Amino acid sequence: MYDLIIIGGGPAAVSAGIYAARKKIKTLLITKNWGGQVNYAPFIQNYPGIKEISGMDLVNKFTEHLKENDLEIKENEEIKEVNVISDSEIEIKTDKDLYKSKTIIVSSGRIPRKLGVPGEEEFIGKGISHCATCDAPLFQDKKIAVVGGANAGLSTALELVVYASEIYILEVSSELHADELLQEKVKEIDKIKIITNVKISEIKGSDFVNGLIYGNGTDGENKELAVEGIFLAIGSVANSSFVKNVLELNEQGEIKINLCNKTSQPNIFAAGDVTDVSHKQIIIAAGEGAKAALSAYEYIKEIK
Amino acid sequence: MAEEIKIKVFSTPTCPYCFTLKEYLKEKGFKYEEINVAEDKVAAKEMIKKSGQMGVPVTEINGEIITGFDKVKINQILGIKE
Repeated sequence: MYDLIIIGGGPAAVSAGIYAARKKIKTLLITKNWGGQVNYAPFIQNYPGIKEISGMDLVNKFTEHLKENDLEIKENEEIKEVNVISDSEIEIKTDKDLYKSKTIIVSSGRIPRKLGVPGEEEFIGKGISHCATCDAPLFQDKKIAVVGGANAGLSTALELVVYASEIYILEVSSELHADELLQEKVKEIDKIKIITNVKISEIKGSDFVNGLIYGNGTDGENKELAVEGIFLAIGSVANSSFVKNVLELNEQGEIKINLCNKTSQPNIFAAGDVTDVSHKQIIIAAGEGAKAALSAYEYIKEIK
Repeated sequence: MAEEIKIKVFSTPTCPYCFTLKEYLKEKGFKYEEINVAEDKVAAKEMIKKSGQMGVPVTEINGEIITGFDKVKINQILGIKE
């Protein structure tokens, strides 16, 4: 039985791991992969002590630092189920094994939001991408749709502009929500077109994506847009589905926590972007992870 | 004599999981040929055809295709025990 199991591999989890190890409690960290959303930040300029760093490099620094500490780590494991046995025992089922711990910290971050239309699951990696930074060069001279008219969508379109032949930014509401500066940039580029009031109903293709069907509010008729690439930039949701039956969540699916990172279950703590903490930032997630580890440590001492 | 293992990694310089995958192979002492599909358009087409994927990373080990950083599958093919 562990004292503490930390779920996740982003800034909150890493920071919790470092703090827990220094308290010399028996700790296990389970993660599918390292860094979470930090990986996709092209550069970070607001982390004290580090003037500028790419997300990828910061993730490497985080994991390197974590691994200097005395704790167990299971990488590439996915959490399937969390069961509360008692206020001093939690059982975690992963795709590989079963673990028991007195306390846990859920710091599983956020995952890309889904459109929820037919064809979406089928064509991920076959024309649908969430990562322009990764996959943009593969869409040389192709017509592409970027779904989402906020900052992420417009930045994605700008990243694709050197490769794609034509780019359609599709926004569900009647206007773009990105910063004015980004909107001005995008509107200056001829090969970027903006379509608003777009409700996508299906993604089509055979081996790869070849188009999407959408309704365009104004006339109610379905239209088809022939594109070979679809980049989704419609935000993210809390990665909390595996605790939805054991913890209280808010309307957005975020885990409700108090100032000490306690959840509705006494021996489950939560930290970072999976929670209802205000402002989702790397530095905040790291701080929250530290707080959660210290709260868990105090709880473990109490129940001993 | 162990048979010679030929590893090709198709990647882009800016992709985080490609980086993690290459670091992992290095750490385990495997040599690989790195193919930058952002520069090499012919290789990009080859990768898409072989893998049926329009996403990186794609790894080819002795002709077998692995999409994404699938550590379990890589470990299995290369006989890496963790």
